[in-house]
Amino acid sequence: MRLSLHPARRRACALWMLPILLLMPARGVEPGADPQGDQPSPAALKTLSIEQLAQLEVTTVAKERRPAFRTPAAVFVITREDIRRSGINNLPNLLRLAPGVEVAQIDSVKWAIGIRGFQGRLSRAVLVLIDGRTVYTPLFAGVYWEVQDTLIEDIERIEVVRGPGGTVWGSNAVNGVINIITRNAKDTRGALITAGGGNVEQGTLKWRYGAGSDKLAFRVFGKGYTRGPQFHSDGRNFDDSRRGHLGFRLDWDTSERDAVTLQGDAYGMIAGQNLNISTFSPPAFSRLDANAYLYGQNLLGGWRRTLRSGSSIEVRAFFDRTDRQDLNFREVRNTYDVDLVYRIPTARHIFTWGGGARVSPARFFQVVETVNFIPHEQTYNLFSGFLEDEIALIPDRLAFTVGAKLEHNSFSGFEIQPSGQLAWTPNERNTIWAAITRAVRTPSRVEDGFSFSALAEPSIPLYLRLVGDGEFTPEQFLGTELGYRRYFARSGFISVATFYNWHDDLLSVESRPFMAETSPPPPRLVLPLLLRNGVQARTGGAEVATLWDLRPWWRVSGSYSSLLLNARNKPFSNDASTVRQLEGDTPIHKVVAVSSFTLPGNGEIDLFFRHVSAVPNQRVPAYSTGDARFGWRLTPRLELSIVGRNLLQPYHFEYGGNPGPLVGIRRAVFGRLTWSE
Amino acid sequence: MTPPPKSPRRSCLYSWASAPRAAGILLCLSACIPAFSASQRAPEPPPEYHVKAAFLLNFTRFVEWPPEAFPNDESPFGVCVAGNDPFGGVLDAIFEGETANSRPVAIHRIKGEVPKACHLLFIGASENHPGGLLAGLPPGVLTIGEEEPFIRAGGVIAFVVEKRRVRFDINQTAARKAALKISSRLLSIARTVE
Repeated sequence: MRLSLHPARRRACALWMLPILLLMPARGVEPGADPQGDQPSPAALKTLSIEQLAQLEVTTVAKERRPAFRTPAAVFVITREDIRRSGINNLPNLLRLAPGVEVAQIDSVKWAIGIRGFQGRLSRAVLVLIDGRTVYTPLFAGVYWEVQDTLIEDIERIEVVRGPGGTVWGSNAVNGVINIITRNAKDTRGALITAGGGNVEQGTLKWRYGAGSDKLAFRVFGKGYTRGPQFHSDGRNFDDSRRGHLGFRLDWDTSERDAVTLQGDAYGMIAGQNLNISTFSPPAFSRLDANAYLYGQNLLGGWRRTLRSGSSIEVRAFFDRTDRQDLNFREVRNTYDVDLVYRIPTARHIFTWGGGARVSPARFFQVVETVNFIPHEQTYNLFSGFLEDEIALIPDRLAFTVGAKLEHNSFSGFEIQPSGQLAWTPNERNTIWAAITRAVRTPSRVEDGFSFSALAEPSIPLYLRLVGDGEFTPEQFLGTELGYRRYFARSGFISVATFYNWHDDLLSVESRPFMAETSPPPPRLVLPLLLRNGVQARTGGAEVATLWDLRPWWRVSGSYSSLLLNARNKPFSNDASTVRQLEGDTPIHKVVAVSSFTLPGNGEIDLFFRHVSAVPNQRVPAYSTGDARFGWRLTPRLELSIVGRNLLQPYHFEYGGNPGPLVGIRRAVFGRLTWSE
Repeated sequence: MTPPPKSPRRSCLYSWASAPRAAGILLCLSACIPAFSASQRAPEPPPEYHVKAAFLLNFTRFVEWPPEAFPNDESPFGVCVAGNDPFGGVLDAIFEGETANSRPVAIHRIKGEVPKACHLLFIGASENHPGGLLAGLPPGVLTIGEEEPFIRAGGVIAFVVEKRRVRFDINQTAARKAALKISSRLLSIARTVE
């Protein structure tokens, strides 16, 4: 294997390890800590004066992660501090910090992301929300990651729920939910300007201005970048991109009980792509390097009222427009969505109920004759209602949550998705939880009125034709999970989640007899491949995440994730490729280790290591690489940071997805200056 | 759309063979962590919520409640914890044998509506939206929460952990609204006073 023995690589590794070794403190030396003797008892604390209490150093459990403590689901929170110290500049790479999430970069523009398997360019069956706005497209049942962005500095946190968030979150959250939450405008008052550049992220300029009072505040922000190509062994450096993004957010506490939010974004992106395009008329086949033009605008309004009884009601509505001008098709989609959530906490129960309606008319523009959606104009509707009850069987100790969501969508009609979860918290440091959930992945446009032909053999000529004819039914899912979380007095936690899931009626490609076709000319032979539900799979695995504040100035964290996926054809299926793809598209192991140092003199060093095992179906070997960030606060308002990514080798492969050889993800260095007030 | 089959089947050995360095780094990291934890044994700082509980007792000594807050001379001083109780038994241990405003202390853990018998109300971080609890409280309740936004939501005192020390912010407008008098000693220790 190319990674194992190259001397230059070893040197790079040794260099990367050097800061860790240099910074290893001698035993027992603990700068900045006052000697306190043994842990004082509560009785001893009572005798201290209030001034002494204010000076006392304490141990804290990583509080920012604490709200997830009792949650009966595999939740991981990427905090604002994690984001800042990662030095990462885009959403997909940030998700690498979460266990159980497989993030692989296809090229400079595209990513393949999956949660607990089913990794792919469009993250099938993962629901992604930005401030409650779903960015899941019903066109291909997935997420176009390259267009999802916001001002990274203003993200409050990213909650990653592995496993079926089916009950509350709705359809297509089968494998997980990614919830990106930006900061309240009251917390982003002031100006921020950041500018930087490097060899891959060639130039980035970001700004934000926020102002207002504690009652009414707003921010406006802008972001632009130009990104260079990754490594191409055939010299086709097609994957450069440019992007501009403007956005705003307004938060207004109209009364002591009411909070209103209004926010919006507009972006435009030019993304270099490389695509094989087949045509029926000569030349029948061409490989195209060209730019895709991707535009989007959205506007979201939210209102929350907290009632005196402690109940709360939240209404959210958004409009989202995307215009995707790809090399082989164009789609313009408008989504209108309204959601309501009502939460009623009582002594023993927390009832949550709500509903939503989404209408999403879309228009398809045919660009090449071999890619078509019929009809060109179609409206996707989704209506849903849910009810959930969290019952305190033993107050503060044992909670049982039961819920169900009823949904109607325009492709497959009614779906019901029940779930049950149990969380046992024997004390404030331990939680054991278990969950069983039914979820579905509903059909999308690609399975209902889609036709895609690709030239397979020019001499006949023979075309393969993928056909979504509406016969596809929802994919079925039954998941079981068991997890444990423990917080330690010495500022650490460990979280373990295991799962075993049954997937049925998964998407398959069923071949039918050859047929001859004469219209449009010239004549040809076609092998139809129909989208059906011919595959079953079982997935199992475990994820372990841990974090330790070893010193006030030193935090280490890490995670290990494993996934085993066994798939098989159902008796009627003649699908020859899906099983191999499912089993070979996601790595079995992933390891992440992070070490963050706060240095005297306002310096910070953050080191990241990751190992990802092979992805055989993409012909990607296992790889290990590391990132590093050095940050200095030059003045209270000015910060300089240098970020190195993928440092352990000149380039490595993560995922396929383009015609031609795999694209190597390059070693990248990026410098950035941030001024904020 | 669906690329043809390409490569040999996966195997654990195949993928792990390429990562001796990964194993090395992990081994080093895992070997270092226990060593450092062990070296840390001697001075152990108290948990955050033990100190916060001690602060609550102190607050009762530096805040003056209006007489109307108590139905009669015998009624106890109510210390209430809303939502999940992060203190465990420590709060009881701290207040055991203590008086507040020369009255015996009664500790209540509450869910939902705030009863009339609360004079000090701690709203923990588990309550995501303290605004609802805060709105419509009668005067004479000292509200204590966590993190700065609590002050903006109309709370009187917010704990803030800063550089591993428990500090607090005070909202004097809210204190006046609640008819509470805060001593200058408390104000001088506060991190910020609004």
